[in-house]
Amino acid sequence: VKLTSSEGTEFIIDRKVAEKSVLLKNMLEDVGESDMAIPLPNVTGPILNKVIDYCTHHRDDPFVSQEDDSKKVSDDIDDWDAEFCKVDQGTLFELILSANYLDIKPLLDLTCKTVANMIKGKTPDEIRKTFNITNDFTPEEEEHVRKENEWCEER
Amino acid sequence: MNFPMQRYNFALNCIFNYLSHRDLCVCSLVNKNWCQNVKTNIWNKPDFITEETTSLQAFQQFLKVIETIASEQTRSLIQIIDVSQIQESLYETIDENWLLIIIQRCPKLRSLIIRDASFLTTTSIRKLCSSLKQPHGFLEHLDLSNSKNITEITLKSLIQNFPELVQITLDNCSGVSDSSISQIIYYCHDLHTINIANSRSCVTDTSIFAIAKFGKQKLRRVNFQSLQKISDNSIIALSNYCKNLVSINLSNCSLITCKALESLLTANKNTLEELIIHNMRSIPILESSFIGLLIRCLNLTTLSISLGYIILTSFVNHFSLGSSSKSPPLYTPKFSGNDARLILDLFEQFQSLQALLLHNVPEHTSTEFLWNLFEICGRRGNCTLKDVKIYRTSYESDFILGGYAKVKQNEINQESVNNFNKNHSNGPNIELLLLEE
Repeated sequence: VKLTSSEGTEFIIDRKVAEKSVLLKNMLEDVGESDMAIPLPNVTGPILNKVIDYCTHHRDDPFVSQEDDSKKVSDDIDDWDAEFCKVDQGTLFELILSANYLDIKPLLDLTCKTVANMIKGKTPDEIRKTFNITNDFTPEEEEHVRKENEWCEER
Repeated sequence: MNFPMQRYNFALNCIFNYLSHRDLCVCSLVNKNWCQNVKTNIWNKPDFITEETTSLQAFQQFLKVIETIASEQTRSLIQIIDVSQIQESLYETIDENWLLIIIQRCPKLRSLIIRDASFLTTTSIRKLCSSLKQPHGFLEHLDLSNSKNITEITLKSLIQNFPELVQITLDNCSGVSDSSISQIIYYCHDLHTINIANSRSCVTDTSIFAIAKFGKQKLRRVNFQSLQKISDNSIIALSNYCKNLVSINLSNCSLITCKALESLLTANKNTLEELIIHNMRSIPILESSFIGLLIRCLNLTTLSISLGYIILTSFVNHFSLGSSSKSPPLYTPKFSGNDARLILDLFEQFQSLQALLLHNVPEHTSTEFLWNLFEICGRRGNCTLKDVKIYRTSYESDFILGGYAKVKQNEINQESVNNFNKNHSNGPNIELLLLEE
């Protein structure tokens, strides 16, 4: 299967690897065997490379269709996956968007969990530092937001 | 990170789905943009199920916040409120103003689910009606299933506040009567979905006439399950007025006969997607002409029927004669092998059937025939069954297994169902459900 990233770089991958993506799987089912490259205008080359890495590593994983999203545990990341996610935040965000676009549920889970773990248990200040964000609240506004959302905070 | 804002926020929302409420609250304090994203996440459908506090406490605190602190912008984010998980305890009760607070302070609320709520009382409704200055113009869906403390009169006055309702669920709700139903259907002129199932003896033909007359072409989904007093007359009226029905549930209605069903199907054959007609006592057998009508409903995707309608044991025995012929037929033979062929032929022609629910599957039904039926279903209409549910009660043979009686090979049991599923990994998936009698 041939894929083209947003800047026009071509990637050739196994059909089995491509089918980890529900989007590509459906496309391939509709089109059938064809030599035409599938354009992916929303994904850049380096990111597509990472995605392919992931799909190749996980090519033999059983297909999990609809697991219950009720409780998301975010500590079940294996070593390879953890290593895979050791990239800068920009890449991580791009990966989330591509996983969502290509409809690769396990990759979306993994990348979101990784970022969620960077947020968990931290104070607002620590989060700002981690993601390099400046606080644009006035103290009054901050207090108001705190009070508004208090009802759903587990104490 | 230099991302377009929209893409950045999208990724942020993906991540927020993996965080607990506590972490989300922290995130809301990071900066204005994060705050906005968190708010849409937690305020759209407030979730009162927390780990440490009870949902009752969370709900009470939520009420206090929307009454006093929350800005209008925040309150406008609320679209769905579901209080069905909340239970009053012996020591803590909910302020009787709760309904008023919600309706007054959530201007964009679209859906209010008050299923099984003991605190939906006459007083709470009266407080709402006396203090609310103008009707709530956004609420589209109201679910009052299993509300036991509501009377005919309070139900009527409650509905007066919601002229824009399009969907109402009153399953087993104590306020349902001919008079309240007529008023609701008259007052809410955009109503397209109405569920008055299990209203026992309170609903008669009068309600159905009113629903037919005022619902007309805009009515889409009706659920009249277990209404024992509605008869052919009103159902035929329904088919005269309502010709765009998408979903019809008449299961357990004991007075309705094939005649009314046929006219209903003919009137709605272009739109019908879901037909639930099991356990209707006045329909002993479905004629092949009726199945012919079903086939002409080109969009029918879900069908729930009693197996007794289409197949009687005797006719099934015909099928299993080859394998065993020792047990005498329990019923007088009404079908011959040709009839079996006919039924298979008919089922083959379904155009879009995806789910088939079979109720009252009698003992000694030939699995061979059923499996055939599932395999062949829709084949000529270019669709395949995806889900089959078989509901059966306990069979005699379940209890004599291993005893002196020889159990027939092709009885419906979990084992035969598992076998079928294993051999048909792409085909329909069968689920067997046991019902208590």
